[in-house]
Amino acid sequence: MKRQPRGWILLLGVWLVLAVACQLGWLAADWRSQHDGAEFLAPSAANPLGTDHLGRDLLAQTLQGSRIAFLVGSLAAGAAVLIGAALGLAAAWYRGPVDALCNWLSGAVAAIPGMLLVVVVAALLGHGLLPLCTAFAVVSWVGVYRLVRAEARRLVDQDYVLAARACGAPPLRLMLRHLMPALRPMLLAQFSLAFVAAIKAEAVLSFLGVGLAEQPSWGRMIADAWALGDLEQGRWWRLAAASGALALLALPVYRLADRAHEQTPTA
Amino acid sequence: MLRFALHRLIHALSLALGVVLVLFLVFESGLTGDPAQREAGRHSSARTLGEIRLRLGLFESFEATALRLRVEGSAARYFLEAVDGPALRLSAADDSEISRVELAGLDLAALHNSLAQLELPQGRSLWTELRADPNLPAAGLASALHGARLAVDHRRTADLGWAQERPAWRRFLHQSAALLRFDFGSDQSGQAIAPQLWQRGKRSLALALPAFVLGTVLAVAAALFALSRRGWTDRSLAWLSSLMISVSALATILFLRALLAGKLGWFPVAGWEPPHANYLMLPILTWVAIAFWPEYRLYRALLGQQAGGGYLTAARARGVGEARLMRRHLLPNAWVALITQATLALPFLALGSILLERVFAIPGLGSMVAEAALNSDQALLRAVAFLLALVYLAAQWLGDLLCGLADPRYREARA
Repeated sequence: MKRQPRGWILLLGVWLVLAVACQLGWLAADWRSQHDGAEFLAPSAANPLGTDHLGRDLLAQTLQGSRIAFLVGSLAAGAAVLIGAALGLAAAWYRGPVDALCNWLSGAVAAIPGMLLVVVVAALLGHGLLPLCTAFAVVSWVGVYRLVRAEARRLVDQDYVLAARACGAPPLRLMLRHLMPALRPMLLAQFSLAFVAAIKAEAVLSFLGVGLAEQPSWGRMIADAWALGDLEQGRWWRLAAASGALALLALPVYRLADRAHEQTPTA
Repeated sequence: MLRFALHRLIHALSLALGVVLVLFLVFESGLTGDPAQREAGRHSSARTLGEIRLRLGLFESFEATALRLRVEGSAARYFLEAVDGPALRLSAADDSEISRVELAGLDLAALHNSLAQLELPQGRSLWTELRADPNLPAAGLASALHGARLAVDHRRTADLGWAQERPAWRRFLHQSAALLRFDFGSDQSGQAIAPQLWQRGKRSLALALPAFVLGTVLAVAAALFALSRRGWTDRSLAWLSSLMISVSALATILFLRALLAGKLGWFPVAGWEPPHANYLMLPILTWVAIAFWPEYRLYRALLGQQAGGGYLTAARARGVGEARLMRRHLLPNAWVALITQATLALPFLALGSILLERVFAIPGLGSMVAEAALNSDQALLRAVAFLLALVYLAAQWLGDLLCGLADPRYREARA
């Protein structure tokens, strides 16, 4: 019996609490408040992570960033998993032309380099949370689709599904009641990986100027740090705060995913 | 084998058509908003918009003027020209001048009056319609007309449309045909796209190819090492790799650059001058530092799956040494998986790394994409996406063939 990964779950829980607290306005609600003459301050007791180019507290922004990260991550990953799972189930269940069509579509999307397609769609849709999540979902459903389709095809041939079909269960009920429970661990793993990937993608897109604007996201902080030459001036704290927070959110997810992977019996 | 190759080729071609469709849906279909409006920006005149629509193929034709004329009662052709700066001249088909109106300083209403007073040949009447488009200022009319040669025709006004929109299905056919002919058109600044792709693609490859080869070899070697050692080496590498992939690539790039180029001064900070190798070393190093860890995880998982087969245990039990075990027993069996992975990474190489090229100011495809995304230069983005997708499909096809050669079972599974 392996040790339970309590530490990582706890860390994720802390992030979630912080994000919810920021969303409710209990925490770091004043991240916008500017202080003249307090620009680019180094970390101190008053500003534990320093201040940015407008004299805004970086700790407050980093905390607010967790809210944006959870929003972006769960919306984008949720959409990607939803599309991928729906198409994967449909392809595995109906086979024939539906399967061929879904395969063809996913093959075509996968042929375009994902990074490029995300940038393109985000650039075409314009700034904002929803365009960003759409762009991510449009590209990332393919991976989920392939896994779900392969696994669902295996499940469809199992005796219990056959039995349920013989009992006359309608397809939708069959998929939701009989296939979904078996797929759930995989979907959860895919969701968590896509969650982190979406947050990273937000950073990249904001850096390239097609992501979020005027939002206290970590990507925005990194982009500002780069645009204003923070590191050249020896001001490492903004970049460190944003990328450190991102890593602290990503690491537990990866570790938990690794652990789940180790524990699933390989077929 | 030939049948297999053909079968996979047809599959790849059908996917290429799919790519064209996806690109059409993304760029042209209006699902992502009006392409012309996006390119022109918020405050643009109807004329700019119309010209962009014409360039993007949304319009079949577009008249940049706000003036429509018709001569009644004659099949003869007359020409209305803007000549000598802002002046209108009505001439017959044999170029003899019939009438002339000075346009300077006119507003729309005055122009309308002047046109009404144009002297026409006996028995003809001139019918004019002036469209005051809210986006097209009357003051701009004179300059808009300057140099334009307008046919004054007896046809019905409906035929002289301001702009004729191209229906979606014809747009799709038009775009697909252009893409499949590699006719990428020109970018926002009017430069032809195809030569730019080639020139910039070469620079991206100069960055990407060494980095990819170095990173892949290192990653496979490290994965083999971890597999042969197992125990805490494997575990700590797994731990380290998940830590390293948690850090955003951006942070790695910026910190490495600040440290190695800024603080220590070992490399130039950014730029692109001959000899280019000087400017490529740090980006390549950074690429390897970033790409090594996810690739290590990938290959460790792939090889781990292979190692799960009983034949390794059997060989080990026979007393085969670990190094030989990896080289003679594991690698040959893992070729298919390794080739597949490597070919899948190929298209990303042509793109270089958008981030690295942007940060290190390397004028490759990646930085071109970044700029085009900022300016929403759609023709450019579409061309890059289409070309890279083709490269990907070609690479996938070649990878399929290689795998088919290496493993007959693969041919049967996919035929």
